[in-house]
Amino acid sequence: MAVPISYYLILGALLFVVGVVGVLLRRNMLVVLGAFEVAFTGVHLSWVAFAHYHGQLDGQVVVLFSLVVSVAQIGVGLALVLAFYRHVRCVDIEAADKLRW
Amino acid sequence: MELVLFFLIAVLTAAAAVGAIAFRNPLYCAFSLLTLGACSALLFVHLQAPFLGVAQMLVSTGVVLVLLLSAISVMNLRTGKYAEPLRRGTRSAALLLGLVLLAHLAWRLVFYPVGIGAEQKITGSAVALGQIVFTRFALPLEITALVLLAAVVALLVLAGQEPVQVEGE
Repeated sequence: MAVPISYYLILGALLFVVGVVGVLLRRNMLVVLGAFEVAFTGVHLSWVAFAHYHGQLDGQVVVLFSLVVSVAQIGVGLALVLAFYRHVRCVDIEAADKLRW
Repeated sequence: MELVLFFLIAVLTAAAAVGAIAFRNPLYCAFSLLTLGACSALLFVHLQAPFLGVAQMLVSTGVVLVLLLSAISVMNLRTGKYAEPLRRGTRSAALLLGLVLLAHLAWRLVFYPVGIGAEQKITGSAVALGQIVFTRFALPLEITALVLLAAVVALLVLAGQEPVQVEGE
């Protein structure tokens, strides 16, 4: 028996919400970046599910581009965290409460 | 059979997602993220997207294992202590926001048709994807390459700088 699309969409929505809650909840910057990745995965799952549902490949192409962008985002985010860590010696998100260094 | 398989992978995926944000030790978070990447790659294969499954696997191992673990080993373990939980008000506000978002998405999904979809399924193999990417999506491809280039330059600029002494700290 084939799986209905709504199951995938529910799972994708759940992953997205978990990612958003993680971004809001955690104080470790590295874990926040990981939570971003969780949210991205949820959205990717929805895209691929829709592509499957409509029998077209366009959704998968979008996910391909989005994967590249998410990798670039994680890379730049980690570089920012590293630059922050060099100044402050911690990765606590609440230590970043000044607008200049 | 397919449904049972889906539920097994879905439960594992959800558990890995919760673990990726809930573990106190960021190392466990990174490993949960790796599990999540593998599970979502399985789901992609399940959804006739084998190339994306492979790409997701590469990305999750590359991003998680190489980037996050090296970052954790450089920054976090040296400081020794993990970040404490947020203040009580912030935490409940975040959980409330998450619940509202989940309720909204679930409410939208209730009215979504429960169906299997189109009759003929297209498999997203490397060949099929490449034929689309290099013709109809050629311009977005170039822009993505530009984004990657900008990201690499930004990474070098941000991560390669010398530590600066800040006065008045």
